[in-house]
Amino acid sequence: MNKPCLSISHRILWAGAAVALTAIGGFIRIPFVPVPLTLQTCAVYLSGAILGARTALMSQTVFLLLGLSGAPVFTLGGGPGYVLQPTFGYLASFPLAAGLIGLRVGKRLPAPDVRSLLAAFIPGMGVIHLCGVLVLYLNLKYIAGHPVSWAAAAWSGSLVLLPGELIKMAAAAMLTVRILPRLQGFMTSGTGG
Amino acid sequence: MITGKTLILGRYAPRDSRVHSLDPRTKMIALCFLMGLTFLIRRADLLILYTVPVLLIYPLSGLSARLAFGSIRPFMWLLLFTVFLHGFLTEGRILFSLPLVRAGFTLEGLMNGLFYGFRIILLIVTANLLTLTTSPMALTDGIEKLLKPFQRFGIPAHELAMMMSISMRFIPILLEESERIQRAQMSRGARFDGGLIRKLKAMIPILIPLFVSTFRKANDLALAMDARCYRGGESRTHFQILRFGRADGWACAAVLMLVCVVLFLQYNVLHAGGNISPEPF
Repeated sequence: MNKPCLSISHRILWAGAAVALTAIGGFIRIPFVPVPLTLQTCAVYLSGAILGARTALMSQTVFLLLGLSGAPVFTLGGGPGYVLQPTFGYLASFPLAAGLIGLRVGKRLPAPDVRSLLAAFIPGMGVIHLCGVLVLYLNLKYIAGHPVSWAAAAWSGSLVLLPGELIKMAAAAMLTVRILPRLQGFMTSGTGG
Repeated sequence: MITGKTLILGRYAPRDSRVHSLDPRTKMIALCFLMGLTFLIRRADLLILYTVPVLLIYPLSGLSARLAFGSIRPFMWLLLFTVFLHGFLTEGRILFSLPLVRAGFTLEGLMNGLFYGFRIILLIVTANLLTLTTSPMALTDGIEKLLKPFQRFGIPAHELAMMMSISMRFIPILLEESERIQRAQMSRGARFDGGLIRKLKAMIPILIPLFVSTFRKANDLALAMDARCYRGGESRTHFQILRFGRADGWACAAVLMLVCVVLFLQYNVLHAGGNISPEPF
C-alpha cells in the first residue's frame, strides 16, 4: 500500500486517519469480565497492515505524542504524567509493533490472506506484551518502589490478557482482509508529489 | 457501546499569565528537568521542601488548586497499590494485621508507601503544568521545532507535527461518524447484546464502514492538499513564530537553579554523610 508514487500529503493524511482510528478504538469498549476489551490494539494491527512499515511507525508515534501532550486518547486520559502509569509500556510499544507488522505484511500486499496476516500480527503482539511486562516490572520497581518478580509481572501483565488479545487479533485479521479490497479502489489514486 | 461523547481534546486552561506566554519548548525542557529531579530526590524532607516551588507555579499561572489535583484520579489505583504494597511487605513495627493472610501492616511500610505515593502525586502535578498552560497547537509547534535538529537523522519533524494536528481534527469527526454508523446499523436491525463473540461480531458492520469512510475522507483531503501544491515542511511559513525571549531565559535559569539547589541539599556536605540510601526514613 505504501507505494512510492504516494504524495507526502497522502502519507500524512492516512497516518493521521490511522491515529484517529486508534484513538476511537480505545473508546469502543466491549464489556467483558474482568477487564473490558478495547479495540485499541486492533487498530494498531490494522494500521500496520494497511499503511506499510514507515507510515505505520510514524502514525503510532504520533498517537503516542498526541496522548503525551494531553489529548485524552489513552484509556485513562492523557498527559505527560502518563509515562508513570504501570501500563505505559503497552502504549510505548505501539510504534514498534505497527512498524514490524507493516514490514511483514508489506511483502504480501496487495492481497494478504488471514493466515499471513496472523503470522505478521503475532510478532507484533509479542513486542507489545514484551514492552508491557518490561515497563510494568520497571514501574513497580522504581516508581512504586516495590520490586516484584519477573514471573509475577509476566503473569499479570501478559498471560492473563492473552485470551482476549488472541480473540482481538483474529478479529483484526478478518477485518483487514475485508477492508483492504475496499480501500484499494481509491488508495492508489494519489499521484501527486 | 461507543463512549467518549463529551470528549474535549486536551485540558488546556487559557489564562493571561507569564507561564502561558512562555515558549512551549522552554516548558517542555523545563518539565523534563523537573520530573527528572523528582526521581532523584530520596529524602522525604527534601521532597516536601521541593513541593513548595513547584506548587507556586500554579498561582503564578493563574490556575486553581482544583486544576492542579484534578487529574490524580486516574492514578488512584497506582497510589493505593503503592501504599498497601509497601505497608504489608516492609518489615517493622506492626500497626494492624489481617487475620486471614497473616500479613502485618507496618509503620515503616506506611511511611515508605506515603513517600513513594507523594512522589507520584508530585510528578503528576508537575506534568500537568505543561498541558494546562500550553495549547495543543503550541505544543505541536514546539514538538516540531524540538525535533527539527534530528531531521538529518531521518526523523521527519514536519510530517509528525502535521499528522498530530490532523489527527486532532479527525478524532471528533470520527466519533460523530461512528455514532451515526451505529445508529444506521441499529435501524437496520443490528443488535449489540449477547455473549462476547456476538458482541464482537456486532462490531464488524460498524468497523468496516468506519475504516473505509475514514480513509476515504483522508484521501479526499490529501487530494485537496495536493491540488494546493502542499509540499511538506520545506520553506513553509508559520502563522505564529516561536521565539525564545527574555522570559524564557529567566524561566530556564530558575529551573536550573532549583535543580542545583535541590541536588546540593541532597548530596551536600552540610548534611553529614548525605543520606543517599533508597530508604526515605
